[in-house]
Amino acid sequence: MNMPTSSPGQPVIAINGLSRRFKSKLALDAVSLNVQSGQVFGLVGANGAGKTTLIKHVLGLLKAESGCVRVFGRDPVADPVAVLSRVGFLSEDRDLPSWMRVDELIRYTRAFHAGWDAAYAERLREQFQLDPGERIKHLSRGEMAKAGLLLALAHRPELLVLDEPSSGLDPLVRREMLEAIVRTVAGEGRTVFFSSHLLDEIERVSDRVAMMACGRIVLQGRLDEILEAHFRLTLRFPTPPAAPPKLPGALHTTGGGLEWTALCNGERGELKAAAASLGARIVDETPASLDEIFLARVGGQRLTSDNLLPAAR
Amino acid sequence: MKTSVAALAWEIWRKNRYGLLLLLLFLVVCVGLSRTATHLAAEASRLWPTAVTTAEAGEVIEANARATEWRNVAAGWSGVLFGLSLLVTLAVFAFAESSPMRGFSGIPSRLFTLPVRTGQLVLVPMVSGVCFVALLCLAWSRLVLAPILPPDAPVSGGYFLLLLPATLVLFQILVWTLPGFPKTRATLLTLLLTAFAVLCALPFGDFTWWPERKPALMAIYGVLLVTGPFVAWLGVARVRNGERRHWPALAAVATRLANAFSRRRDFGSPAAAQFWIECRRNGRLAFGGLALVILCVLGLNAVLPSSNGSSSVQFDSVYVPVLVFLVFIWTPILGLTVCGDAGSRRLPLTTFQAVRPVAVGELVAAKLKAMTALLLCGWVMAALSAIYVWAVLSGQVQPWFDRIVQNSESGMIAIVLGAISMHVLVGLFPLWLSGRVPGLPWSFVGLLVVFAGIANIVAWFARHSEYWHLALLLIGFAAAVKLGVAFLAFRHALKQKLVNRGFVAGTVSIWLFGTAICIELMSRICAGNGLDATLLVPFAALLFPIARLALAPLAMAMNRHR
Repeated sequence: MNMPTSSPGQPVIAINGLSRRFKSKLALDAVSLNVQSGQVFGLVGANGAGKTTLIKHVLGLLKAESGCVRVFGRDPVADPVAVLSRVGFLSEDRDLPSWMRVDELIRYTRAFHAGWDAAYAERLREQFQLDPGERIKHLSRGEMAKAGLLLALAHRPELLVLDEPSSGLDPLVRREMLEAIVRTVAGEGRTVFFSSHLLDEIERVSDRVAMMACGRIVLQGRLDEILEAHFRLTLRFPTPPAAPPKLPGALHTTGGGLEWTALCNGERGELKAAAASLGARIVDETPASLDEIFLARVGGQRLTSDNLLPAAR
Repeated sequence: MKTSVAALAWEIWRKNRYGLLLLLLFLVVCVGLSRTATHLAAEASRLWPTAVTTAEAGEVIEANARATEWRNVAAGWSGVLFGLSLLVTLAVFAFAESSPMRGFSGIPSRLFTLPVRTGQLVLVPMVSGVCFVALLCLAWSRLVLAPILPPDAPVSGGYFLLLLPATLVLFQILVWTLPGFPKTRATLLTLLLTAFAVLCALPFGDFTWWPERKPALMAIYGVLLVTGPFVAWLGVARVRNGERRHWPALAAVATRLANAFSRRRDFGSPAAAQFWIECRRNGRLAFGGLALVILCVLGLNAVLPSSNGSSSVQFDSVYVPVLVFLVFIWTPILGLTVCGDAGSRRLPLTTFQAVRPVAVGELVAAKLKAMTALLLCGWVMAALSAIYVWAVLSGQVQPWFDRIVQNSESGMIAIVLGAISMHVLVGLFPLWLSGRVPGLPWSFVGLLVVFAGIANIVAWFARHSEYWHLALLLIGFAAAVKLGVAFLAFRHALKQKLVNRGFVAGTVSIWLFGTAICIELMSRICAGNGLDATLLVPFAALLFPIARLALAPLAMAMNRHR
């Protein structure tokens, strides 16, 4: 079995100050992140935030205009064979050759990977109920995603890169695919780097999360720490304030009249003192969901920015 | 836009505006050439009656030669650009879209969800296409072709004015009504285009039966034009409603056939897998198309009444069109399609291909091997069918071999065709592999300009032997540029580790071998025919490609790592 071989401490993916421009649009703006071995790293962002562009840089399909990308300590553009042979990739495009049959596709892909596990591939094929004689163009969207995942997993890659793995799939197929990914990660401790705009998916499987908006990383950290640091405060005022209350560390405020709710990221004591100084009383404090954090962090930027991004290719 | 008809017409214009403007540019260029040729001819005929002295007679001869030269140039360019204009017109008014997964659609299915009558969906592109192609035909025949061709040339009659729109209508019907049967559609379209080429050539042939048959053919075109919209409407309505006929028995046979040819064994190496995918993806279509055209030409030749002549003349009448198709159409299309992605057939690599863990050099090598293998197989197929036809016509095979081996003119033609096909196969290899240029038919415009330019230069030097020293200098310069580019490209590719030394050594060895063969054959032909070897032998040294092959890995790297 092909076991992970990254040296301890060395990040599997190291991105530093990466920027990329498509004509006048800035697709990536000084992005920096590290993915450690064994981590499940979730990349969250709205459509056009730059997730696919970032993933294409990781795979060496796009050249860094400035900054640098290292995967297993190597440049994926300069040394694609060394990098790609250790990576399993599932594309959002589902661009498998439509004229091939499933068994031909498996045989073809197998030729490129010395560590191909034929028994595991067969097990996955049976589990995903893929007919070996069926042509790819006759598969449904979900079956095509499963075929792509089979190809990405069967050589037991050290790094699994998934670009919107469940985009456009029904809940049953999504669950099936996520379970396959989770089993891979849990059983073998491999690294997974995946993008999604489905936050429940990210919340279910990720250790670390980065949120992207307009080509920038707006928040990055361990998922539990992010959830711990964000909370909702409900304030009650004796008389309706003239303007929405401004609390230090409040990312987003909603409400009206006497009662206002703020999604906050800050020191709880300071926030309570600030609320008291405004004449408000805190009536409720609840944990924030990743969904709410994302909307608070990214929603505002997305609405105000005119720098929405085109598809990378 | 206030009406749906205007919106549909606008979509055709908006999607193809640059292409349509390019067609206008072609026309303007050829009108310029045609007018220059006419002016020079008028000048020569003006001088003719006033020429009295020897010096003046020399002037007249020179003016006549210049006028003829320009007329030939104008006629050559006009023929090529008019042909290209027709192909582009077919592509524009086919009104189809393509997707990497589903291939070419008929009328895009997104239009079926609009509140528009099927009749409008059919009539807007059909009527606008027919009007456009008729205008194009009129403009070219009146402004370009009529002035430079002999007065009795059959370009300005109603024949082409009916043939071209009828072909477009039939083309649209096939594209729109058979989106669910891509192979049948490809077969029928190939047959249609081959028949179109033959029908275009008929008025220029020396056929005794032509005046009698022409009205019948024109009547058929007229009927097609009238009934075409109705047939298209019926077909598109069926597609829109999702009606499909099923022939389970036929489908079972097709599946069995496909299974018989599917890959059952594992691949020994990534290179073998890559070679397989390139051959498998491009081979079936290439050989299917070639076989179909050969059969179509043979069939038409058997059906149409032939002029009397020896078996040799009859053989040429069959095989010249096949050779022209093989060298000038099949080969460049083969080169272009192999340059495309093996999954989507588009020039930019799909992510699936780009993330294969192999070096760029291996991807390029697989394409080169597949191209060479498919080209050789194509030539073998054409040669076998030629032997068969010759045997049928003359009753024996041996004279065919004698004709090829002993007749140096045939040998010369074979070498020239071989060299041309190699050149058009490699074509604009680096540009195509870079994935930064559009695919068919636009990729051929650049290729056409390059090769037409070279052909014009060669023809000019052939007529002006007093400038051969300059030609030698040019050949030397071209050879130096070619080798210089190859050296720099290989060095760069090695430095970037795109290829290994084996790739470079292999390519250079094949080039040396190919060039040696070209020079040797050309020397023999020159010696055997008493031709002047001064230019031909150095020119032969230029024939085998190396610079474009050396640039290929760099281009592929640009495609893979954007």
